[in-house]
Amino acid sequence: MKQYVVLSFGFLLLLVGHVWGLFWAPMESYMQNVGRIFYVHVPTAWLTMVTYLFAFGFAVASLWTGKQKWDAYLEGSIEVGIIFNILLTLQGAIWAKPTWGVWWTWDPRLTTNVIMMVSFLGVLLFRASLANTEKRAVMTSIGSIVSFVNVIVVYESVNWWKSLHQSQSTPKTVSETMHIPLRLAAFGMLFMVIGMIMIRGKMALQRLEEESRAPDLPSNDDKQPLEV
Amino acid sequence: MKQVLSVVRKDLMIEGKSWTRIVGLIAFAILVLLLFSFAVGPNTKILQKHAAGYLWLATLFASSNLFTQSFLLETEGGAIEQLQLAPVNPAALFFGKAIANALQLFVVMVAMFPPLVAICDISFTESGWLLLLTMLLGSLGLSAPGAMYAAMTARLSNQQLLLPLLLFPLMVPVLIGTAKATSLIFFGDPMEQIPSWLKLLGTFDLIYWSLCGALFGRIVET
Amino acid sequence: MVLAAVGDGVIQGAEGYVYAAYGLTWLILIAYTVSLFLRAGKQAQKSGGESR
Repeated sequence: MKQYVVLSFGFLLLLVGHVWGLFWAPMESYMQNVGRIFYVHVPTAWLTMVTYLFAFGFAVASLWTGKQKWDAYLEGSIEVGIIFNILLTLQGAIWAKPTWGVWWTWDPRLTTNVIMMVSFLGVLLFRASLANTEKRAVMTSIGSIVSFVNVIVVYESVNWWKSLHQSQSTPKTVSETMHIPLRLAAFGMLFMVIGMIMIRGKMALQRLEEESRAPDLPSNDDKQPLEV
Repeated sequence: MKQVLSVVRKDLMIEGKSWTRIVGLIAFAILVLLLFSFAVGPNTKILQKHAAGYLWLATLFASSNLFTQSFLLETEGGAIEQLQLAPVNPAALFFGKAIANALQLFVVMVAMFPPLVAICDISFTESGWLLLLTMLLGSLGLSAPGAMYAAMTARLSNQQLLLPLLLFPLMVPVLIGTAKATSLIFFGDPMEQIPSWLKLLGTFDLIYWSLCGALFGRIVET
Repeated sequence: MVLAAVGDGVIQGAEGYVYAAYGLTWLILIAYTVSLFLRAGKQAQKSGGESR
């Protein structure tokens, strides 16, 4: 129940942030109204990376303690991370068309983003092909830890290479009027992500517990007495 | 350290006994080069321009086969369990395997280079030693994740599919670095960019080798 | 589809992209949440039904 409260709160915050960003915030100087995509795209970007960071944390915990619940939440955060990552890539393409003139280009930010996405997708596919629970947990954790290196590369890609993409949005680089709707949207998505991971992780945990439960032996309790 | 060397020696000895595997890999790599040249067409200018890319792509494809094979020995006949019982440090196993793979990959690259020169009409502007260095750094960058993921996907029925899928995202930085550096070596480097690309390669090599070495122990345990 | 007209160094029009981006985002987020809700329900049913 808790997780749905968290999730709904997230949706609410996001809604307020977006309404503000769409209708009340002033237009961006060069991009005018198209700049409003900022309030969807930047929070999604931040949250994709934060979700993968959660995955990294769960992976380390899973390797360290071997407890099933960390593996379950790892599975949840990878799935949520991939959803946000796909969303991010699509939003980026939609924003790119009017501003850069193309849907896609082989720019460091975009390229490393795709690599990151494929990397985590590969981990999930790998996970699906392993039946042994312990091995699956270890392999998924290792895959996630290695894939996390990509997250850092994506984040720094705009600093390390000459990229078309603008550099990171910080309070210093973003104009004052945009701060509040951006923060609302970002925190909205944060709570959404937390809620989603809680739900998805609980599902995975239940399934894991089911798998590890010994099969019930047939008992005589349920059998009806023979009809005479 | 001694263990690492003995693992390397063991693997290379097995390779040396029967040349068929490495020759097969070289043949495969050359085949890929030929296919590229057929697909792109007879325009020598284009082939020349992209020769570096073809070299490294062919290497990448060949490496996938190499990595799968390198653990085949271990998984057949339960050899890996025996290795675990023997007091071999898992890290030593990893480094040994990775080094052996890197060396084999290097040999494959050197062997496919003459055909590449012929197909793409390559001429050198920068030193050939730089090219060898690039190839070495590239092999190292590919073989560490390769060895690790090969061990992780060993014994899986869909290893042939899964290994490239898992591996290729990791190989992209190496691919970009090596292809760029190689291109500059072929066509000239007026802005002195090669050292920075090589430094990037070296950094990734270090990251991959330490990360994979640290994690390898857990993989063999399961 | 009208591409953004870049005349004065600012992008004019092209609101369709904004709606597309926002719409897509909300669509995917809501769809995923619904899918989670349905799958979680099914999972709870499976686990709940098995425990005595």
